[in-house]
Amino acid sequence: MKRDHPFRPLKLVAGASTGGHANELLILLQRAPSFWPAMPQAYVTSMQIGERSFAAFDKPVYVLGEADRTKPLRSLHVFFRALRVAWRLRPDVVVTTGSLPLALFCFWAWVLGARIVWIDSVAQVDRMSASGRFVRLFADLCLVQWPEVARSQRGTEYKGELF
Amino acid sequence: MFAFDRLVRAMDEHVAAGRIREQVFAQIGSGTYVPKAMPFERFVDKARFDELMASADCIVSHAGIGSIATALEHGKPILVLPRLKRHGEVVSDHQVATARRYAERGYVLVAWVEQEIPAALERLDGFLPAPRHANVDGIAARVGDFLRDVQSGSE
Repeated sequence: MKRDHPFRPLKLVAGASTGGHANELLILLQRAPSFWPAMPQAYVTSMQIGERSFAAFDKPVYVLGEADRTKPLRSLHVFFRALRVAWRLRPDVVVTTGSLPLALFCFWAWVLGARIVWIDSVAQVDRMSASGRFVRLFADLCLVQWPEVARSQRGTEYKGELF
Repeated sequence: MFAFDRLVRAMDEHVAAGRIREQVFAQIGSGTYVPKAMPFERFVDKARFDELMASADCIVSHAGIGSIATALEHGKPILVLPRLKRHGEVVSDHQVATARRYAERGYVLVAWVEQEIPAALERLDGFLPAPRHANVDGIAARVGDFLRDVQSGSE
């Protein structure tokens, strides 16, 4: 899939669940200005309280709601919220450090044409997270933070760690 | 902050019985066990937390990535007791894997059961955590290369 307007600036969206995942993303974003051609134009997180973590970037922050595998109904709600946010943002690229709510957002963004960069949490020391294994099916770049995990999971790369 | 009564109670009982002689301060979160032998607070704010962290010789905590990273950042030796699913302390036993991996790299010491805490604390006294240098730039650079590829249309 090629982008239809090659001269339009890259629409980049970054996201992470509130808590540890967001902390990992924030550490990455601190170094991003030295390495990325553009900074994100919007942020996505899971809880209202997590909005303020991204306030310093002065870009819109969207909240998906919390979900995990043990709460199917909540997850369904987040699934449709993720569609609404993905539809509104129509990103070219999504960069995320997880978890499930962001995996659902990645799915819709991918359906709508986005490239997906998934960075599995440093907390995943033995194998990729369930969300990561799902996103790996359609993601363009999957990074894990332990060499052992990269060896155990095809299609993933180890390039370093966020903490 | 989720409760971890098993660790709080164990620490308190070890202090009460004289098996731990160091000066202990506990942040206990929302647990129901109230310590009798050690000073504690339920929650401390960030400023107070940093102050406590700076003045501590060592840290005892659950095997959460956040706690481990904080201790390593401050260069403090840390002893971890993994939260366990069978005690209802977490939904999966991922802290067991975390503790094992960080211990095998020499970053932390582990007490697998509460009874091991006093003996592990003695080992912690001479324990120098392996320096951990997170390679954030490695990840930022890889993502940056990918973004440039997308931008130029070659991805």
